[in-house]
Amino acid sequence: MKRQHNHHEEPLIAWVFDEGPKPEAMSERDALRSEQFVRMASALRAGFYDAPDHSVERAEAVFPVARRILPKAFGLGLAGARGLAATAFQVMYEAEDVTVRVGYEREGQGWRVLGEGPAGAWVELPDRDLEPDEGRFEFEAASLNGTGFVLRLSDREIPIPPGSEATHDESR
Amino acid sequence: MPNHAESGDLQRLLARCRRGDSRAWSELIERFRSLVYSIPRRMGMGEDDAGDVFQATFVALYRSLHAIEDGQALPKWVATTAARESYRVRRLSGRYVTVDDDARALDEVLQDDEERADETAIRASEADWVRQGVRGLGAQCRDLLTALYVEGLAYQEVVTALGIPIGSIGPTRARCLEKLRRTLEAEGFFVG
Repeated sequence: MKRQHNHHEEPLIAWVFDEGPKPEAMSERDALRSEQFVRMASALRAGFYDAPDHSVERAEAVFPVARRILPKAFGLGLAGARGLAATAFQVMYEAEDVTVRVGYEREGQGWRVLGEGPAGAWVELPDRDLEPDEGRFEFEAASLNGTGFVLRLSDREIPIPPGSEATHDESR
Repeated sequence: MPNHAESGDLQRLLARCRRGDSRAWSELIERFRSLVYSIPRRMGMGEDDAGDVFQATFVALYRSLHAIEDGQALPKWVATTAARESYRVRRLSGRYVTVDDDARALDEVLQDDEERADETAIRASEADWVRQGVRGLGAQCRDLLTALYVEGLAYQEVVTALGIPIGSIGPTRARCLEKLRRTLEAEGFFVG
């Protein structure tokens, strides 16, 4: 519905925003609106300053170096389709200069995770740490959602998301 | 509660940051770039001190990524952190401590600073909320209100910049401000 023209509107706004004369005989509704316009005017007049680029870059560097944790490749090991009935699949994650290969296999009611990362890295699970053998490690999880872990290197840590994110299936 | 659509975006950004997505972190910084930096600058602090406040705020945000559950709360959280950090930096700089402050107990000074910081944060997050509201308007209203209140242009300059006849600036401005008021009202801006 087209809004009807309110002939009080401009004087009210001119009063609040331009220090114009106060409108005569304001209705209760316009009195409320004028209070709201005053708050808006105060907020609108607050000066904004854009942080310089070097400050933004410094803040971006707060995030750990190991950050671009995106699956680089995805492969099915056994019969199944992505996101539906896969019972085994592999994901290759790439975090800048580090590559981590992780295989997920359904085992009974849970999942077995087999991985390979750089030698010397540790694997942190929610309840324990693993010391990989020449970069290879293995653990079990009750669900695919519980297969996330952190790969700890000497200079950084790389969070590897659970396999459910790679399959886009968080129901398992 | 800020812009409804944005709340969902912030929630998703938080979730992506928690998963280690650096692009989400950069987007988060970009979203709050002006809000954070403007707080110490409005308090009269120089670029160096404002840069320190900016850095400290995002370090605190990074450390709290897993503790902040609600994306809607993020603008207020960021503003409060930046305001408190601004008062801390200003206090430590010593350049702004008055004789009265020296004579008062330290905890009293801290208490006052905290209250002032909270008021500063409220004003800053309101300004940010309204600015986001302006960005959510149609192009004509967004451009006009930005020209008038963000860039501070005079009517004659608006004519040149936007090509709007001078006679229609007033009525258009009134229509746009009323539209913005209704949007903010629907979002709960005027509550409390």
